[in-house]
Amino acid sequence: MVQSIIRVTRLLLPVLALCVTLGVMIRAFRRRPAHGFGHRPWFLFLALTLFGVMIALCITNETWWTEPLTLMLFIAFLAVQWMSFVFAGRGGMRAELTGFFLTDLGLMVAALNDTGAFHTQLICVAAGIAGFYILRFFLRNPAFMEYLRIPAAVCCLGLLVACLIFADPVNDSKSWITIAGFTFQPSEIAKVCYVLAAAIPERKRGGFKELLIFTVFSAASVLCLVVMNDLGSAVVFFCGFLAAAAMRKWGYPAAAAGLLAGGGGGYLALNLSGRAAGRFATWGKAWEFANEGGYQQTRAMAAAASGGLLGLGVGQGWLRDVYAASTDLVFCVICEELGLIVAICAILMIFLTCVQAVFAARRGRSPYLVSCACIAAMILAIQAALNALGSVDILPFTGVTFPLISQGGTSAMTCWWLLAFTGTEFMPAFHAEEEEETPSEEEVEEE
Amino acid sequence: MKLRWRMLPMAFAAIILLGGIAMFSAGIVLQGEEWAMQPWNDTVCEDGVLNTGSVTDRNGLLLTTAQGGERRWIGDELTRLSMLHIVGDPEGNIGTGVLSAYPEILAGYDLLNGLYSADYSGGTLRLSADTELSRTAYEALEGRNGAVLVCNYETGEILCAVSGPSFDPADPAAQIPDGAYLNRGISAVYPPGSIFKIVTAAAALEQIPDVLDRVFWCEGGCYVGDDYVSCSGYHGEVTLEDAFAVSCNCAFAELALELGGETLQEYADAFGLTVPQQIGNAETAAGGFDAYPDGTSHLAWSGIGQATDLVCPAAFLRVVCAAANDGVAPDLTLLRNGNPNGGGERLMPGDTAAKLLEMMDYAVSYTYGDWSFPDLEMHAKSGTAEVDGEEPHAWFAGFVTNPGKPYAFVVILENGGSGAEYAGAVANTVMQQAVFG
Ligand SMILES: [Zn+2]
Repeated sequence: MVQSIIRVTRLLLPVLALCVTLGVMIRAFRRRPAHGFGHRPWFLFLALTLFGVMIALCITNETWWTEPLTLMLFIAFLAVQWMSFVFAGRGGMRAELTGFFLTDLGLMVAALNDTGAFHTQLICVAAGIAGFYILRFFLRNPAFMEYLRIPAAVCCLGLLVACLIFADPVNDSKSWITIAGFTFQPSEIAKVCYVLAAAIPERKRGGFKELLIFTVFSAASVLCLVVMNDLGSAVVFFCGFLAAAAMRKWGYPAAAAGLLAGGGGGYLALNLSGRAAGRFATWGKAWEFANEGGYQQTRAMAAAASGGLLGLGVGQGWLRDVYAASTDLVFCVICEELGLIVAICAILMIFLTCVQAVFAARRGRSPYLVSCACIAAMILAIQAALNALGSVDILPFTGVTFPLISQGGTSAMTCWWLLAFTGTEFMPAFHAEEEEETPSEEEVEEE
Repeated sequence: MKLRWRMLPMAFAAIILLGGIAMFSAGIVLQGEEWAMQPWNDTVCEDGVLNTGSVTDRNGLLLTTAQGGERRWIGDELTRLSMLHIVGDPEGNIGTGVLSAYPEILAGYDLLNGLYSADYSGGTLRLSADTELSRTAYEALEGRNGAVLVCNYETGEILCAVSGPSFDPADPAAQIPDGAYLNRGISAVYPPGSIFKIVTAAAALEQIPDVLDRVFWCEGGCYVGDDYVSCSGYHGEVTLEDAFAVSCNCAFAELALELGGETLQEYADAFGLTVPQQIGNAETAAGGFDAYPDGTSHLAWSGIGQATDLVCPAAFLRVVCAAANDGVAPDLTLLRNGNPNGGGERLMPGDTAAKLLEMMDYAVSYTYGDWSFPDLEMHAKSGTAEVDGEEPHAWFAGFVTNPGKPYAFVVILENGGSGAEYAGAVANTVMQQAVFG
């Protein structure tokens, strides 16, 4: 029974994944919002649902799966997908498709791990999706959101500093805080705060004072993470800073200063922290140190290669038994069980988020929304790159999570929130009359 | 500022992401097999041992197969015993067996499916070896320690690689005799004795211009300095052909002294006797040849295949192949059609090979007797390698030129006594089966 399910699904899943990715790609490159039923792509959505159902079908051989609670939660997840589809606005269904596709993969990884993980993951995804729509609602009024910049900056730094002080060191890096039995990663939530704080305000745009405050705030955030020994997150924040700085007037000098400081700081951090230096020592030489520093990477690469293009079938791999497979090595777990095609689709989804952000900048009405989209897309892309390429020894192995696929409640939730900032360019504005506004500054510059 | 400058960091992120994934995909396409074939890859291995894949002989007879992680064997015990060293054991102790040497074929890796196989049976590997021939060879060993190698000297396909002692891989309770994991044909080295005279003769033919006109004098032995080099008989006046046929030590001692240690070593190296030779993914053991100073009896003995000479039977099989195949040794392979382009290495010029062929033919008709090899166009050289305090090793190496049967062989019987008598008899039995069976 299980074997025949796998025989069918390992052929269908890549096809469905390609359909979904292709659909999202077409939508990402579309210059104008679709009218009529064009913004409700039935076919695309059917493929996405089928993809989720098939993944669910594949894990039915796990005994806990038939528990009523689990089944209900999963059906609820499908229902949310369909509701978001039915109620999709005119500019909708861009970031959502990416989110649902990656979440399907993330739920698979969590489900193969254990019941508890699956339930936690689903609840956090629910919180993430709720937050996604709340953020989207408020983002329709950028003028209001701008007031959140200062509170968000305070919140971001506060979370990072709190982490520095209260976190329990795990594997030499302090990134987890436990409050009343709940364990979470403040640095993940800080990412969302960072986006809100670093976005370009419409009114004070180009002000030198604003640039200075922004740069100092960013430097402080990165520094906190370096001290925490969470180098991966530091790089992610730093790239978010670059994306935000590049869009400001005089941003490039600030970015250059940041690069210099970042380079120097990185060099110092490497020399100071033995563990990080150890990671870099085996970078690019994983096969030479297959049983030492390259243990996880070589296992990941062997497993990924075992999957070929179509994968071994959901639940048929062994990489998930290796340490940190469901977080750091998750990209290769996908390669092993679902094949290279699905894994590349996941990467393309993140890439298309960047493409959407760039197109948003071309068309964007509001510099605030555009910069939000760019910073968020940048953070997601760098996380995906560091995770996927780190696990296969192309980039240093930093232990960054893959957006929405890596197991982890905080990460799944905040990645949905980050997604809310992207794909907003056709989103209807809060005030109906604003839609008729004059072309934005960007468009004028372009011409 | 232009939009494209504003988007520079985004472009940078996109390039890293897509470029990195392109690199990784290229890695999977180009090196995926290499990455996947690790002993700790639990998809195809259990405790570091491959537990998937089937092996058949050259005619498609299924010798072993694995399903659901369990290995099954062909029902006939004699077949299991005779094919053991070429197939290998499931624990991977026989390194030159295909179960150890060809994991990628047995795992059934391909880019599309990776290591997935619908019934978990992996891939199928077809040996070049013939079961009937191997059974005949194993029986001909009669329980003695040693090895029988037969190959096609045009294609390099190994038709038989039987080694004794053997054990039954299907019987986990079997008593495994000492040294049974060793494939004596591929992984062992022995003093070559007189079969090494093929090498010395080849060197003499090329380095001493008038060697075919020479006459050597044998009176049952000769002095080199103060040391006495004994011969197998009192041969009197002999030419090179006679000396080769009767295996006269005096003549070859004289040749070795004239050629010098360095030259002999060059020939041993060039013939691939001193370094490991590839047999597909497996490789032979490395023999040895020491260059002794001029004028010493050690130098004389080294030209006769004694002293510290060591030779791996499979490496010597290449030399015999070259003599049969116009000087070219084909790349040996354990796989059916494993050398489809007929790749090989020229070990000696064609006229040297032709002369060696003639001399080996003469040796059979003059010394061993054509009647010992009925209906076979036999060309061979025997060797009886002296071992301190034990029976000598029996060697018999050569080839047949029967039409359509281009087969070369090497037989070694550990402490088997006279090469021509015992190893020659095994060679006859095996080649009768190979040519007429
Ligand atoms: Zn003699």
